[in-house]
Amino acid sequence: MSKTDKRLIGGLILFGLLLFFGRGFFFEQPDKPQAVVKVQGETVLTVDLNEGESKTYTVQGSYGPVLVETSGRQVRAAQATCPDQICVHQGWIHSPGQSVICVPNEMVIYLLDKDKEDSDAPDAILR
Amino acid sequence: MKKKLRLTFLIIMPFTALFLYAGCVFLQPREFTGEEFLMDTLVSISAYGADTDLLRSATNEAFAEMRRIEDLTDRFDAKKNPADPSSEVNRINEMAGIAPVPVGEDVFTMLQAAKAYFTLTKGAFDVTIGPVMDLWGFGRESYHVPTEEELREALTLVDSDQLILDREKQTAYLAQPGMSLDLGAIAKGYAVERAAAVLRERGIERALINAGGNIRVLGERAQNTPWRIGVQDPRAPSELAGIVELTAEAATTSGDYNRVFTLDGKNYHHLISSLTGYPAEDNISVTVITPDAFQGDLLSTALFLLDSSEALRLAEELEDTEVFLITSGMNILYSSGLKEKIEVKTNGRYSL
Repeated sequence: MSKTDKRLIGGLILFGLLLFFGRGFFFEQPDKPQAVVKVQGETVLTVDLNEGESKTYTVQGSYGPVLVETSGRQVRAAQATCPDQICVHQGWIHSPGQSVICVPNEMVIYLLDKDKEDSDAPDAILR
Repeated sequence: MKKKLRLTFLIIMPFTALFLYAGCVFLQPREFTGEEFLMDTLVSISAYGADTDLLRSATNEAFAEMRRIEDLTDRFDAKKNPADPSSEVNRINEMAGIAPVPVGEDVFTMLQAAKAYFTLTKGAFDVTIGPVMDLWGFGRESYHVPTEEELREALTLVDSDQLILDREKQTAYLAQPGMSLDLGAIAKGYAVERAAAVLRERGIERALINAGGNIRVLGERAQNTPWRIGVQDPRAPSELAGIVELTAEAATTSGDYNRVFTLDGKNYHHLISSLTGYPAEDNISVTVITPDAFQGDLLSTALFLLDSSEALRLAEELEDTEVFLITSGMNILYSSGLKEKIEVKTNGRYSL
């Protein structure tokens, strides 16, 4: 067996191992909690959520501006100009699977938080 | 010889690992989720299967089918103000007291079912509620509390007995001028059921369609595992009042917390009784579990309009129907068939 052979084998093994152990890195989403805001299906804002941190952002919806506020690992629509105010009344959402929906603005706020995902969570929520 | 074996092993190992892993990835059931704002709500369709292309195209077809139903049944459309000409419902309304209007199979089916529920609820549920909805400003979002006099007048135009359906000619006719249909209570459920039918026709066996208050599942969540569907707490939007198990069924909620307006400190919601012309007040949330989403939409509205005890009694009487309801007295009631399939959360607010 020549040196090249050995290197080739070593390389293949390394590649296999890398793929096996690194699959999380290549194929899965980041673990850190995030709030994602979509308008008309397009992601317009992604916020990393950190404990003890509060932030506000203004997002342009289909109807008008929406004030999105995060506080620690929660998010809400704090203000909006839509007539029904359903999104504002929804209040803070704190677990993945929940969402804030504003129909006039065609806006959805999602929460991604791997730590809080639990197998008991329902598959969908009747609103 | 020994050395060679070890060598072969060393070469094969990583490939085996790679192929095993790739196998796990590719044979795993895929998920495709699409989301669209439709019929005044966010609709999401998740389909599961082995072929992503099929999942995507079937989901897109299901959305297209829902849009088709929306166009047929729309009464108002902000984007196509004042009235959408492709809406058969608008045409029937315009021809009220003038002439019968030929309609497609979809609208005919919806109206026929609506008439049956009119009889079942002794007139509390009435698809000819249009004039009263207009008076309150629902649909156009220009809310106003009508006077008794105004309501009395509008209620004379609400009567499903004067909605004349002709099966042979497939026409619909509102016998009095000024009468109008409002399919708000049933069109979404019909559209969701049509979307489920499209997915099934395309060979999808496992899917979840979520249109806000209307959820329809195909198949089970996983083998021998039902889907778990949360029911929003009507008094705390970020909490659940219960979780129900669902397999190849529909769950539909009518609540007093959607489409509400407040005037002088009083809330008025859109679930209006055709008997009084006022929002029904005995229930705050009614969820029904039925084999079909269309039937579910009709029934959740119809039961909401009845007294709680009457609603529960009717649900027990109907085949393949379960109900979970919260009364305005903050009591949770549910039908006997749900016992094994429900997890109730009273949240310190409700009593059982």
